[in-house]
Amino acid sequence: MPNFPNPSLDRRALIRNGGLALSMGAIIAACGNDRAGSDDPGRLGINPPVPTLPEAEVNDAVLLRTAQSLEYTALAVYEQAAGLDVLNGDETKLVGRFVSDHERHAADLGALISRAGGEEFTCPNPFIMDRAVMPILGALDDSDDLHRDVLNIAYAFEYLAGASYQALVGALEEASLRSSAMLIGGEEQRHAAALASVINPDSLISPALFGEPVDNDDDGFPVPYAIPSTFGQLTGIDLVVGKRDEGEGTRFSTQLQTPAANSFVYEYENC
Amino acid sequence: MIDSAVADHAATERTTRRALFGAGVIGTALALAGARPAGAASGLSDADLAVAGFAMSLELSARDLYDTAIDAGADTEVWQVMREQHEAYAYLLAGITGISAQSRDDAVFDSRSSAFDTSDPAMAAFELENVSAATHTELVGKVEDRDIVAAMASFVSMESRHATVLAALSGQGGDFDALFVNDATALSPEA
Repeated sequence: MPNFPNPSLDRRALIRNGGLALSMGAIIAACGNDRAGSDDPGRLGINPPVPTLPEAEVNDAVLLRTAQSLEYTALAVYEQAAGLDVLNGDETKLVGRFVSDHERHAADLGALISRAGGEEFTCPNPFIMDRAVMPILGALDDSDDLHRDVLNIAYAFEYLAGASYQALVGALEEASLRSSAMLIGGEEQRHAAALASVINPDSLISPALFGEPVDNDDDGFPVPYAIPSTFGQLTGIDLVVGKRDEGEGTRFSTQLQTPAANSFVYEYENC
Repeated sequence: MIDSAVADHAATERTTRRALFGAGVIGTALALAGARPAGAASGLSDADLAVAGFAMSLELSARDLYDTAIDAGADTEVWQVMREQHEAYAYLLAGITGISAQSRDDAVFDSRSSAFDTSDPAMAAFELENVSAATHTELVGKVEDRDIVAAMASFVSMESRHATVLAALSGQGGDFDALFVNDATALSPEA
């Protein structure tokens, strides 16, 4: 067995002296003055800088611009639906009426936005398009029933529009704007009721109004009712579309939400 | 477009469930109303109280008009549902304002009661729902209290749907204007 030299610095001394050096370094660093440098959180790797969003308030113009964007969102949805060519003659006429109503609503909102001192927003809601519409339309690829899916999508977006006006009206500061906005909201609810009657003609009134549970149908689709509740609801609107996944046995599902901070169309946003 | 025969089929009798859903609706209304103090102690302005009181009396008139039809033999579930809906709206406003939900608007009731004195009040009900929706649409621009605004906006949402269903039930399912446009004149508290 070889003889190792006896080191002059044993392990205990090494640990003790190392700890002393670290402690002194920390104290010296803390005593520095006028130290420059970023206060941002540390970043790993090479990433683009986080954008700084403009300051924005939620005022009447923003709420009405958001409502206008919903009208253009509905128009975008119907344009896509028309391209699928799955509706029958009566349904096509019905949707044609909805399209003309949404165009009129969008124009009426433009006048209201001007009254509120804002600029029109004449395109679909960017957040809802990215987070809801595009995924929903994507789920229609190789759908097992496009006709069913298109009607359910139309119902969900009409319902969303109606509920959104109900929510926005309660937030409008200028009282004189509320009636004009709610007039549009009522028409959206009428659209939804008519679509529910087409999709589910045998049961116009929700079982909830009889104290019974509201279940999805046997294939897992939410059942629309022309009269779904006692009071207008602002809760999420469930939508299921597309074919059943062979592996998990599920279909694409999402929940549409009335506009909130992430989907408001702020005044700094442009089409 | 919307077949009234189909709508009639949908409105089949469900008498055994009436008591249950009636109690449920009232419970919902009371829950939504929360625990706001009554009358002047609610902090509402006199103007808001007057508007809300008027809206509540309109809803009670609607309830009583549907009762008239039910007494005359309108025995499908849709009439009972309509009755309960309007009563719930009155109760919600009562809960918000503290005003007792007892007084209907006799002028509204008297002017429409003969039209509701039938086993098939679909057309009269269609017109009533449009008037109610138009009135609340107008009133949301006349009140300041946000709870009242939210309640009335909620009523407009549902009364608009009622009107579309009743347009179909009254044989106007192919008339898009009847289905989707409310051309009724709003009632006014000052009238």
